This record gives sequence, C-alpha cells and structure tokens, in this order.
Amino acid sequence: MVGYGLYTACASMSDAALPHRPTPVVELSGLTKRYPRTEHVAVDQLDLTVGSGEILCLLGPSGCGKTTLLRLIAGFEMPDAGRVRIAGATVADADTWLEPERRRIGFVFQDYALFPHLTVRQNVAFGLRNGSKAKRLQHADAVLDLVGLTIFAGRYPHQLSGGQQQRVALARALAPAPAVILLDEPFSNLDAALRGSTRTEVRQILKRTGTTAVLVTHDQEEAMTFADRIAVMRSGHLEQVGTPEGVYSRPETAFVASFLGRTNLLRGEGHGSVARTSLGDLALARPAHGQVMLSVRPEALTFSPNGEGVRVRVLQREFKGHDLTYACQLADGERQRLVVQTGPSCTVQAGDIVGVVVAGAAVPLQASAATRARSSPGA
Amino acid sequence: MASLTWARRARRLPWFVLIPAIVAGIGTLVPIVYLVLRAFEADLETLQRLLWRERTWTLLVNTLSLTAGVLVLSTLMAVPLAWLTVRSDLRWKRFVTVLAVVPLAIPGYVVAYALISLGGVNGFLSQLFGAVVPRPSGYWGAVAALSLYTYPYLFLNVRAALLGLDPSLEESARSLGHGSRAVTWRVVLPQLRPALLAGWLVIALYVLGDFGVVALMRYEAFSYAIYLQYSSAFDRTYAALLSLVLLGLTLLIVGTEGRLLGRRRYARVGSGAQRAVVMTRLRRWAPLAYGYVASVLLAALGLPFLVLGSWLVLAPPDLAAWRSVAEAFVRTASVAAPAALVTALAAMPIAYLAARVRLRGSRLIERLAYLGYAIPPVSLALAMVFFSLRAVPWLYQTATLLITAYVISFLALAIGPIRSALLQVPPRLEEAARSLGRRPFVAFFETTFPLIRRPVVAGTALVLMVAMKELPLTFLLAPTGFTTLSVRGFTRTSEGMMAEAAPFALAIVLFSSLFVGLLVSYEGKR
Repeated sequence: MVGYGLYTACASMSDAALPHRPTPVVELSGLTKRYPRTEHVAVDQLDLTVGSGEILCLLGPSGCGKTTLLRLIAGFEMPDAGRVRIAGATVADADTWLEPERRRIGFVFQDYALFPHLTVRQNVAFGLRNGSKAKRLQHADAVLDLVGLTIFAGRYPHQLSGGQQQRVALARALAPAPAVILLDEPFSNLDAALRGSTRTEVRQILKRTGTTAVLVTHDQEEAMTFADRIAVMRSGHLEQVGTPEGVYSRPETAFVASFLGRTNLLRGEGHGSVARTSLGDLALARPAHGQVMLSVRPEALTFSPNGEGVRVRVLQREFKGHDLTYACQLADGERQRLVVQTGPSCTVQAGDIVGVVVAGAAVPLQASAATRARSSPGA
Repeated sequence: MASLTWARRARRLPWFVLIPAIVAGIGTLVPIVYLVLRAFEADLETLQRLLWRERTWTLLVNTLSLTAGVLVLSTLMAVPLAWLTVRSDLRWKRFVTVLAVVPLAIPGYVVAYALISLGGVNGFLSQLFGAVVPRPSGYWGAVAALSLYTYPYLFLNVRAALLGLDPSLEESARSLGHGSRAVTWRVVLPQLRPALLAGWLVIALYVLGDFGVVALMRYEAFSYAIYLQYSSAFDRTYAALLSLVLLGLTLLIVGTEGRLLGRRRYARVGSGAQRAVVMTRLRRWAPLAYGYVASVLLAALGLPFLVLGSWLVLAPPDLAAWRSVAEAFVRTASVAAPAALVTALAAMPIAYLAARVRLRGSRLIERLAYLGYAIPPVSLALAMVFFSLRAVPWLYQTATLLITAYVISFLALAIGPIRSALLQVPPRLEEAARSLGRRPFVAFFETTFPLIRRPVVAGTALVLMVAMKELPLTFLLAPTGFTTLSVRGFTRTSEGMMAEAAPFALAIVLFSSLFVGLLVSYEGKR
C-alpha cells in the first residue's frame, strides 16, 4: 500500500511547470450511462483523459450529465457501456467492476457529507487504514494543518462554518493520498464572499500536494480560475476540452462561446482566412469556407473615435465599475444586435450613433456535438 | 448498446441487505400459501357449501358491526381528547397526553378482564359494595373493552395532525367570512382526514385481529369462531376457510383506506415559518372538558389498575403464586427477546432497501412485511400450524415456530421507525466512507448505523413489549405446557378465576408500561 507521502510527492511542482503530456490518471473511453426507464442518456459515449497533477473542470449547465460523469469515475454509478481507467488500472468496463472503496479516489460532496457523529480529526482520519491509531491521528493532524484547521480538530462538524466544513471535507478526501480527487460543486454551498478565497486556497492545496483533481461546476468563472483544463459538457457530450484561455478565446461551438461569457454571434461567409459579415470583412482565427457562424467577444469590439467602421445605435449603457457594457444595434436595415465592452471611462451614451471596429479575430464555430449526435440517429 | 439489466443492478446490492430482505419477504408469504393450500384440499363444491353457510354471514356481520362500534366509540374518546390537549387552554396537557397513551400498555384481554370482574355475584362491585350487576359480555362488552384499549392509536394520530395544522389556513378561512363552526367543518376536519383514516385503519386491524377480548366476552367474531372451529371440530377445512375470509376482509379494509386517502395533498403548500397556535379558551365549558378528560382516563386507565389492585388486596396471592408469575415471566421473555432481536435484524435491511434502493421489488418486500402485520393473528397462527405440519413437522410445537410467527407479525413495527430515520440520513455519508476505502457493510456500520441506532433500539423495544403481551399467536402456537404471562392470565380469566388471573395481568401491565414512555417519545417525533 502507498504511504502517506502527501508533502513529498510533486511538492515542488508549480502551476506553470505542468509537464506537457503528463501520465494519464483518469482515462474514460466510450463511457455511456442511461437512467433506467427513461430515454434520457446522461453520459453518451464520452472520451476524456486527465493527466497527473492536473486540475480538470467539468463545466456545463445543470442536467448536462457532469455529476453523473463524476459519479461514474468514483464508482457510485455503474456505466452501461465504455471503460474507466484510474492510475493505469481498468476499474470499470463490460467485464470489470471495481467497487468505489478500491478505486483510490477521494470525493468531496456538494454538501460535504461529513460524518456528524465524528470529530473533525476522526473525520479526517476515517480513510486512513495503515499504522497505529496514534500514527493515523498524527497524520490526520498533519493534513488538518495543511488546510489550516488544526485548532478545530476536536470539534464536531456542526460546530464549524460552511467554509471550514468544506476544508474538512477536502482534508478527509486528501488524507489517504488518493490517485485522483473528485469534487462535486464543492463551492456552491458557500456564500459569494467566501467562495473566491476558499477557491484560491483549495487550488493552492491541490497544487502544493500535486493532487490530480476533477471538479464539477456550472459556474464558468469558477472553472476558468480553478482549472488547468476545462471540459465543457452539454447533454452528455463533451463540447470542447482545452485550457481556460483556449476555450474562452477560441470556442468551437456557439454553446461553448456563449456559456463561457458574453459573445456576439454573427453570420458570415468564409473565404479562407477572412469572412464577409455585416461588420465588414473579418480576420478569422482559423480558416473557414461557405456559410459560417462566428463568435466575436464584446471586448474585441471598440467604438471608433472618428466614426470609422460599421455604424450602430447604442440602446443601453451598463456601468459595472471596472468596465462598461453597451448593447447596440446595427444602424442600417439589419437588426443584428451587438454587445460592446469598453473601459470604464467611455462617454458614449444610450441613443448615440457611433462607429464600431473589430480589433481581434473572429472565431468560426461548428455545430455542437450534442446537436450532431441528435441529427444522426444511426450513430 | 446493452442497457443495464435488473440482474446487474441487483448484483450491486450488498448481500447483507439483499439476502435477509428476500428471506424475510418470502417468509411472510410461505405460511399464507399453506393456508390457501389447506383450505383448497377440499373440493370446490364443499368449499362453496361451507362459504355460503349462514354462519359465515353471521360472523361477517358480527365482525363488521363490532368494528364499526369500536370505531365510533374510540373516535368519541380520542378526537375531543386530542383537540383538548392541543388546541385548548386545558391545564396539565403534557400529563393528560401521557396518561391518555398509557392504555397502549394494557392488553385488550386485561381490559376485558377488568370489565368482566366488575360484575357478577363474585364480582368486584358485589364484593365491595354488595351491588350485583350483570357481567358485561357480548357485543357491548367487546366494543367497550376494545375501544378502551385501542383509542390511543387514534388519539396519537389526530394529535400529531392537529399539531401540524397551519393556523394561517384557519385564519384565511375566517378572513373569507366563515364562522368558527364552518371553519371546523370545511378547513380543520378535511385536514384531519388522513390522520383519522390512518388511526381508524390501525384500530380496524386490531379489532379484526383481536382474539382475547372477543373470546372473553364470548362474542362470535371471526377470530373467536376460527379458534372454536379449530380447537373443537374434527375437520379443519372450515377453520382454514374462515381464516382466509378474515384475511381477505383485512386486505379489503387496507385497500379501501389507501383508496380513500387518495393522492390529495395535505401538507402546507407555501413556504415560510409556521406561526404558533392561539389556544381556544374553554371558559364556561371548562368543567365539562375536565369532567370528560377525567372520565375517559378513569375508564381506560383507572378501571384496569383499580380492579387489578383490588383483587390483589382482596385475595393476596401467596408466595407460590408469585413464583409461578416469575416463571411465566422468564418463559415469556425467553421467546419475546429473541423475537425482538431477530425482528430488528430483519427490519434493518428491509428498511434500507425501501428507503435507499430504487429497484423494482424493493418496495414489494416492505409491503410484504406490512402484510405480515395486517394478517389477523389467528389466521397467521393457523397458517403457521398448517405450514409446519406439512413442510417442517419437526418445527411444530416449538419455540422456534412461535418466534418466527412473532417476527412475521411484528416486522412492520420495527421497519417504520428505522425507515423514517434512514430517510433522514444522507446516502452520501456511505458513499463518502466508501470513497475512503470502506467495504459496503463497514461503510454502513460506521456511518449510517450510529445515526439510526436510537430508532433501531426503540423498534426493538417496541417489538419486545408487544411480543411480551401477545396472546393469540402464543395461545395457538406455544409448545404444550409453555404458558406465558398472557396465556396464564387469559386462561384463568376464561375459567372465571379472577383473583388468580390478577398477578399475571399485573405483571404484563407493569412491564408494558415501562415501554410506553419510549413509544410516546418516538410517536411524538413523527
């Protein structure tokens, strides 16, 4: 059995120093899960790999199957088809079924599921099976120290605040040094003020211990700040997998583009590296031909000081402190709406007619994976 | 793509849940199958002739009118008492509530015993005051005895419903222009419907299943007639047939209750905290209310204790009598305790299956357990006799068979509290334990079990109490010479030996009273 080498393993690894192709810790292939007596497919022939020491966020709207996917990895649900491998060993496929307790996973539940009849220290020591009792409790204290809760070791869960319970749940999952830690919307029960700081703290702990983690969330901001890679999920399919920057700035589908933040979806006609649109000819982030849907982020649009570009009527001005968001409409016949984001000191007012220019490249989009699967029933 | 099959899902269930649950579920069915087999040994024509005998109809009418009488009388006792202890400015409410529930500890045959020993030439009233009144017997005797001991079930149900009523519903009815009487009829009573139906169902099941009271009152209801038929007649086919009819009647009543309850929603629909109730002031009705409370409590509680106590004073039992009480107590405990333990062990997996596992068949096993509870004890006893004689002759007239019958009959009593406790423990606790390396059984034992320990203990104690005072199963199934407290008390009473029966009855009542506090505490929490 593995020792509790929590501090030594990958302790020197920093955020930036991720290996380019880390050894896979979680490998899913063709994973499928239906719910009994329904047509609904929660997870549909899904492939995904999570590398060692990596933090992957499963991001998607509620009901997209992300929690089911997490529970399939953990072994709380049994797949209908496909394979799950953890740390190089197959734990579930057509012939194999490894119980959750044998998968070397750690799970942090949305409501933490702390054992109410055990103290904080006993909760953390619960997963430790090797060594004397004193040694286990000593190790539990060491993990509690890691999450900064040493002084609460003797308390019961109900005597702690939400943020503290959250960290106890993390410590409990981390203590046995699992191959991967699975977090199911772990921050959603915290109030907004606490959420940001807890998130940073948890990320630091995961990185310091070099822990591989899969986190489920429906909050795009959380996914972008927390993840090394984001897997955007919709109706049981993965829409796109990539770094936060990559997924944000080069979305592949309209769903990804709009789920990760506000965007302008424009129709256009691709001619290789440029596309003809109602905003004029735009440079493309990747080549496209024929009828194509384009995504242009609001911050890629600016108002031109001397009336260059396409003329738009400003409908609404929304001041948010650190920036300004404008809702506009093309001034000529077309009813195309545009969202423009500027710095906080822009003086353009609602009702003005101004020129808009495109600063960055437009991203051509494809049909979504979920839509493709639905339109080809033979698949 | 292969969909997940039932078998594959079932395979994931831990053995320690699946096996005991299935064994217990099937165990309930087996005796009934043998009862049917025994009845249908006769040819169809004979069965038809037996079934259409006038006697069958007399018994049916007798049983139904007894049930109706008890329902009316117990409602008259329970509902006003519940209202007074929840909604009025009656004093000592807590005390009155506890006293009103204590009759649960007094078995029906003891109440019947108390009523019977009031009258007659050698009766209590005659010895004390020289007044000879006829011994209560027959229909009215049975109605009185059964009502006096079953009304607490209705009382507890109605009380809980009254406590749960949202006063703002009544206030909105008032604001819509209804007077207090209209509010009672149109708002309060309809909301009490589920509680009334649930209470009536329990009482009806008791009346149908009761043996001691109708036997002592010599009232020919089904269970008494079945016993007479079984013990005296040479041919047991008619006894088996009557048992089936009684079982069918019981199932019919259970089904009707479910239909009457329907799918209506009675819980509060809105959100927000519930406000406190304003107590109705009794004012000039207060003397009437106190008089009412006193007379109900006196009849249900005072009477049995007074009669028992008086017998012990008038004819004090000697040392030998007390020794035989102690011996009977030990014998009773020697079957009741194992029955309580086995019941708790079987109830846990069934409750677990019903509360946690969404699988076809998991609710079915729970229903079977409730069926076991609903089977009239005399029918069950006969079924067990036929089953053991046919299938396992070496079990006939053994304590094991008796304990098995107890378990079948009382399983549902233990499942109820365990199941509601399980529903309050999040399943994620066990998942967390498993993600931390525990095997399923260990995960259950270290996380869920500590949280449901109290209801498990309460359920076990409840079964122990009920088994200690159980009469018909014990009377019909106990090995020859294996006389428990209840059998002793019952046989002495039926022979008219009132003074000799007193110490046995007293031992049962005292023992049961110890457990009533427990029952009150968890009934109150529901």
